[in-house]
Parts: sequence; C-alpha cells; structure tokens
Amino acid sequence: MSGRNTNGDLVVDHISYQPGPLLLDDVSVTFAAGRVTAVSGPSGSGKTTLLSIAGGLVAPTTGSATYDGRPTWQGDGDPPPEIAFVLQVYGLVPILSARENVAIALRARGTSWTDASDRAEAALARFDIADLGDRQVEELSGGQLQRVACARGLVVGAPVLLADEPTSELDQGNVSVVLDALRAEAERGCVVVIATHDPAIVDLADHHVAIDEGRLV
Amino acid sequence: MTSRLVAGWWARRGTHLPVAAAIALVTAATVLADGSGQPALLAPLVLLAAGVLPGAGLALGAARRQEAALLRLHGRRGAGWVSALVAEPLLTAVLGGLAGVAVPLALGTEPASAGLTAGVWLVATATVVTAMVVAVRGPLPDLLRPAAGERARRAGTVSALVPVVVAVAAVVALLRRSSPVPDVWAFTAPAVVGLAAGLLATAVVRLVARRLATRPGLGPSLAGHRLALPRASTGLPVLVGSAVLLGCALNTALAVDGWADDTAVVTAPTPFVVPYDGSAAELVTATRDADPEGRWLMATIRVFEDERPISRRVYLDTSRYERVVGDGLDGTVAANGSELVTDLRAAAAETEPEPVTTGRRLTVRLALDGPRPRPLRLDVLTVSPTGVGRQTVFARPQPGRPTTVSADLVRCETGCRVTGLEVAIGFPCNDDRWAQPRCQRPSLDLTTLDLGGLDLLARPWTLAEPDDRPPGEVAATPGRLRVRPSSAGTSYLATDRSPWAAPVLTTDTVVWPDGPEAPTTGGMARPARVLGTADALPLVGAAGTVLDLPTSTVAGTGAVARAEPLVLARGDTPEDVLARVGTPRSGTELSENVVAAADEGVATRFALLAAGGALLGLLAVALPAARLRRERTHERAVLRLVGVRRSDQRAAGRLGIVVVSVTAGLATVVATWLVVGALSDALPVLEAGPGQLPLDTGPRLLAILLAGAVATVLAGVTTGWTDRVPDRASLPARLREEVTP
Repeated sequence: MSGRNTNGDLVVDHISYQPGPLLLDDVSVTFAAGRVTAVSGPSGSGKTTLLSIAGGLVAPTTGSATYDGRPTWQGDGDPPPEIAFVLQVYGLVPILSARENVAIALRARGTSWTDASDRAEAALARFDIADLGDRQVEELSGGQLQRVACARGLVVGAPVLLADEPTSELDQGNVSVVLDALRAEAERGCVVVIATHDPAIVDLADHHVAIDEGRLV
Repeated sequence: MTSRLVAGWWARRGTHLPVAAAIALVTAATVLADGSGQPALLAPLVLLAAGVLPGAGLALGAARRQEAALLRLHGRRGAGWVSALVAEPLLTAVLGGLAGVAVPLALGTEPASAGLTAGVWLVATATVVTAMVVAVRGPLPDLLRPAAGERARRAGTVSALVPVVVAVAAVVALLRRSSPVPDVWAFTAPAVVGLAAGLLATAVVRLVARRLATRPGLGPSLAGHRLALPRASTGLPVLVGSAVLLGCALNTALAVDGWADDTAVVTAPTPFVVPYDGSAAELVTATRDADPEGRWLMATIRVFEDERPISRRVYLDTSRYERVVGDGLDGTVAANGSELVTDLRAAAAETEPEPVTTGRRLTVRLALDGPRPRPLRLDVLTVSPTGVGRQTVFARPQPGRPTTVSADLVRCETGCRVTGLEVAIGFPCNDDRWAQPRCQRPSLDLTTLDLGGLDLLARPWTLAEPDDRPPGEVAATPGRLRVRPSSAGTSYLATDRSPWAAPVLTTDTVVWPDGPEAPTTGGMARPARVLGTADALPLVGAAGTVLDLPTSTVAGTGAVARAEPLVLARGDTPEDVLARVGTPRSGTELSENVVAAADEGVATRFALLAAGGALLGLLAVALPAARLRRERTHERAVLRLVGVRRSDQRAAGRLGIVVVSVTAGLATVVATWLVVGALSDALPVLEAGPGQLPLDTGPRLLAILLAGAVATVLAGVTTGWTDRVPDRASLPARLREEVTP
C-alpha cells in the first residue's frame, strides 16, 4: 500500500495511533474516489480515530495518510481544504443560524456572502430543512442538527467527505435522504467514507472495512 | 461524601472562586461600612452585587446541569436533590464569608453589628444558591442536552422589566439632585445611573452587532454574531455601574485631596510657623528685630473668638506679606484675597490714626437759654484699650450766663477715643407728656468742649436719635455746638469717625449688624471700611476678616481670648533667625486639626468604595467570561474544521474587543460626568466647620477618564481573554466526540 498515490484516493498506510493505549494498530486501507466506503465496528473500535487520522485532524504515531499523494496531516490539526467532515456530534457553531452554519463553510472558501447564502439554502432544502434556515443552532433538535451538519459537509463539494455516524439521530426517511446525498457525492467522483455500526448502511456501501480493537478485521 | 464534595468543588474552582470573591467582597464591605459608622456606603455595592450574584449562581448552575440531571436519573428528587446540589455553593459561601470578615479584621475594623454582617452574607448566599437551582431545573432531556437548555433561560418578564426599573431609578436619582438632605440615594445614585448607562451600552453593542453580522467580510460578520449573543455583554451593566461608582469616588477623593491641600496652604501660607508668647506689640517688635529687612518673617495674630464670621479675625504685618507669602496662595480659592493684602497695606499706611486723649480732664463751657435754671448732664462716650467709658459733667447753669464745668476722665489712662455725646436737660418725659410745657427743652450752647486735650468742637456732630423719639436739634459750627434736646429730655449725638476708619478685608460671608468694625488686636472697637471682599482670605479661610497688624496694635492693649500670636516664616529662613523668635513648627500642623475634623475618614471610605466598585466590575465581566471562553474554544475548533482563516478569526476577535471596550468606556465617561456634575453636591463628603473652604466637587477630567479607562481595559481584557484561545486547545480533533456547548 506504500508509494505515492495521485489518483484521487484517500490512502491510509500502516497507521498506528498510541496516545496512551493503542487505539489503532498498523491499519492500511485505501478509500477510493467515486465509491462509498463503510467503516464499521463496535463502539470504541477505532472508527472515529481512523477517520480523524485519515482526514488530517490527528497525527498518526506511525504510518501516514495521504490524499492525492499529499499527507493529510498538515502539522497544525487543521484538515486540508480538500477534505470535508460530517461529525458524529455535529460540530456546529452555536452563535450562527442553521443557514449561516452551512454558508460559513462556503465563505471560508471565498464564496461571496450572497452566493453562500443561496447555496446554503439549497443545501438545507436537499435535506428537507430549508424552513429551519433562520433558526439558531440551540433551537434545533438532534436530528435537525445532524442534517444541518450533513448539509454543511456536502455543500462545499470537497473531493473527500468523511462522515462519522451521519444518521445516528435520524428516522428512516431522513436516513434515506442522507444516504442518497452521500451516494450522489460518490457518483461525482468524491471519496465518501461513512463510519457506522448500522448494518443497513454497510449493505448499501460499495466497499466495507470492518475494524475492531484498532485492527482491520 | 466530604472528599467527593471537595473534589467536585475543586473541579469547578474556576466558577467557584469568582462566586467566593463576590461574597467575600459583599461581606467585607458590610463589615467596613458598618464599622466606620457609614452603613449608607454599603448601598451602592449591595446594588451592584445584586447584579453580579445571580449571574454567579447561574454560571455555577450552567456548570452543573449534567450533574443535576444525573442525580435525578439516580432517583434523587425534591429536598434530597437540592441538598445534594447546594453543598458546593455553601462551601463557596462559607469560604467567601470567612475571607470577607478576615480582610477587614486584618485592616483593624471589626463588625459593629454581627447581625447585619450575617444577614448580608445570608442574603448573598441565598441569591447564589437560588440562581444555581433555577439554572439546573427543567425537563431532564433539556438538562442532558446543553444546547436545548439555553431555551429554558430566555428572558422572562422580570428580567425584561429590569432595564425599565433601572432607567426610571436613574432618572429619579438625577432629578433628586436638588435634595438638600444627603441620604442613601446620594451614595446609590452613581451605581444606579451607571447601571442604566451599562444597559444602554448593552443595547448599543447589540445594535452594532446586528449591523456587523450582515457585513460581507467574514471577520466582521463573525464578530457581529458573537456580540449579538446576550451573554456576550451580560456583564456590561454592572461593569459600567462599578466604573461609574469608581469614577465618582475618585472624583470626590480628588476634590477632598485638593481641598485639604488648599486648606493647608491657606491656613498656613508659609512652610514654618512659630507660636509666639507675648503681646501684639512685642510680636511685631520681635519679628522686626530678628529680621530687620523683612525677608523671611511676618508677624501674625489669629483671633478666632467663636464660629461667627465677624468673630474670626487675622492681623497681618502687611508690609512683609509680599516677601514672606508672595504668590504662595496662587491656584487656591484664596488667591484673590491674597492679592488684596497688598491693597490693605497701602490703605492702612495712608489712614490717619484716630486722635486720642492726652490730658486727664474734661472741660466744658456752656450757656443755657430759657426762662429758668435747668439741671443738665453731658456725657462724652469714649472707648479705650481698657473698654468703653462715659465721661460725665453735671451743671445747673443760670439762663444766659455762660458756665464752665469740668471733671476727671475715667478709664482713659492709655488714651481715649470719642465715639459720641449725650446731652440731657431737665427731667425725662415719656411719650404721654411730651406736649406738656415742662417737657419743652431749652437750647444749650457749648463754646468749649475739651476732652483731655481733644477739641471736640472741631468735629462735626449730628443727631443720632433712636427712631421712636421726637428729634431734637443740633447746629455744629467750628468752635460752637448748639443742642436742643428732644422732648424726652436727652439728645444723642454722633461724630464722624470715618477719616480714621481702619481698612479691612472681608470674606463674602461677613455681615455686620451695625456697620463694619475693625477691633484692635486687644479687642477695642474701631470704625472700619471694607476695602475688598473675597471668597476666602489668607489664614482666615472662607469666613472672617483680615486687618493690618501694626496699625491695629494699640499700646496698653489687654489680652483677648483665643488670640494666637504667630510668626510666619519662609522655608528658606536661616535657623538662627528662626531661633530668635521661637521654636518653629511645620505650617501643616496649623491645618491638621481643621482638615482632620472635616475629613475624618472620608478618603479611606471613598477609597474602599472605589476599590469595591472596581472589584465588582471585574467580577461582573469575569464570571461570564469563563463560560464564553469555553464556548469560543469550541467555536474556534469548528471554524478551523470548516477552513475559516485565522486572519478572519483574529479580525473578528479584534473587532469584538474594540466594540465592547469602547462602548463600555464611553458609557462610563458619559455617565460619570453626568453623575458627578449633577449629584456630587449632594454627597455628604465633609463636616462643615467654621471658615471651611468651599469644597469644589465639580467634574475632574482625571477621575472621569480613569473610570472610563478602567471600564475600557476590563471590558477589553476580558473580551480578549475569551477570544484568545490557544491553537492547541481549539484543535478540530476535539470535536470528534464533544457535544456542542
């Protein structure tokens, strides 16, 4: 699995992570562009840690994660601009409304205020929450927060999308909406990785990676 | 149980310590105000603390919401649930209370009333605990979801009414500025007006925030959203209120300080003062012998007989004033009065001394009109250093036959001055009998009237009849005085002593019931003419008169009660010259009693008020700052996750600091200026003493700007601290499993 990969895949190469206890042990996996990859495993198996290292949020103790041949770890804990996240606990800005939470990801990439607002509106509509655009984050339910987080992750059109339990708070109808959206991202050539312990999502994925106690199984 | 309590307290020490500090401050203020006998001073601090303590309780509750939820999940309900939660804040309150009592004790102040101190502590503790319990109430799911919990704390009716109540109270406080009786309002008004200004500042911050939030730039937009958050400016009202209190206290302290300096220099205009034991003449002689050229020493006598302005006199050797005192009073309220002393010197030198008797006999040659002999009495009224006198001759002249009579002078050993004349012919009549023939008086011609060598016929004489008497007649020509007494039998004649009237300087407060008087150093009455008036005069202060010493010193003068002969000496007076007149003392010793009597503890009380205000202001912004910093840490992690540049985040932070600190500073400056200008006169600052210089409590730029600077710095530093989250603390990786705060 070693070597420079420049074909748009996200490559995790012999990664170990041991901040104290050993959380990941020599994990190597390639998340291919244009495919939906499901990473499954029980709670505490290392799914979130694997996504964090793959997305450049955490430096591995050994090994490397690269996207398009470049290391995702940039030295400061900030993810590279090519990678977007949908976090298990949403990661929204409490002082902003739902629409602004989506729009800020676009504005950070240089989109004008008006365009960002329009695209954010459209992104919320994609998840059936356009009517909640003006609500503050603190006024939303868990399921609504999760869909706002999905809208923000998808709106920027990043080539890599890492989604950690993106449907854990959703009803079946909304699960389908989110999975359809993730599928659409993959179809436009994006690397889509979903950490989940939901077998139904695993079944819908193009590729499946199982992990337990920090090892691929 | 105990170890769990201590462990929990320690884990939340960042929240508990400001609460303990707030309770300590309120308790200490109670002890100090109560101990100093000025419980009214406590009012503004209690008011401001009332704005801080609920917030402290809410902050404590916010930090324990999930713990409260877990207790409920474990089946704790009602009193059991509350008792499990209140142990921590009670520990905080006990620590704060102990610290609040210990600090004044260390400063030497003991609580005058333990009940009051305990009561204030109890109320403060109850406020914190109640606010904490309110913050951890609500449906269990809300407690477990902190974000949703925010909805439970929307502004209620009571909190919406608070700005209205404060605004009304501020208007009332300002309108009551003309109240003649200083009361608790006078102390509380700065805090009330400051709170109102702080609420207005909060509204301004939110208004600016709304404008910023819609700006196209990411930095201003982020700053706008942050500032629009109610808790971003929740400490502003108390901060501004505290800073205004600080400004007023500083303004008053500066006013009192300036007043004490002015009082010191006006009371003793030279660095050295030498008490002298001797008469006025000896005092003048001693200074002139010791310092013949008048370079360093000036003889002075203070006579403060009682508290009436006319009883407060100071005699200066004015010929030396310019060299010894010079411009020493420039910049004080007595500067104009000091300049008048030069005029006094010239006027005193030009005034002729009043003639005095040199002989021992009163000789009168007189002739009476009328059909028959009538008994007559003639009194010459005199004044001498030994007191007033009456030189009397009796006669029963035959009509038409001039007669010469004489008598020995009494009480004129050291020379007498003439103040009036009384001529009585026949027996007295009352107003029922004025029309009877026996009450008609003949005329008396005086052709000689010599009083111990003074030719009194050379003077002008006029009638000085009382208003309720029928007038007599007087015709005075040089060498002859013709008098026909009134029907009552006696005429009172006055002579013009104005050519010899002593010049005198007075303060505006002096009112003579019978015309100006200039007693000599021995207390002998003299006519006076007011040369000039001023707000204050050297040594006298704001009530009294200043006279020329050499021309007010009369040989044979008796001692006057409370006369203090002093030698004023310049700071460069040679020691041997000083030694010739006595033992020098510092000039400030002369004013110590005056300043101490009026300023007893004022400086300390206002310094404590200012310190308490500043501490409350700090707590007001520090309490929400800890929570805001936690939120900002999460927010920065999210912004980094979605790729917002650090430059945009820094710009947002800078803008937030500028908006909050500038608004707080401006609100403080305006409110302090308003309060000082409108209310400082109503503050019971000094005990008014006789002759006390007026206290100028007008706005002082230094105090107002300092208050504004304190508010600006505290607001800026705390806002900056909440924003300055280290990169390592705001790593996006922390969001992996962190719930939105």
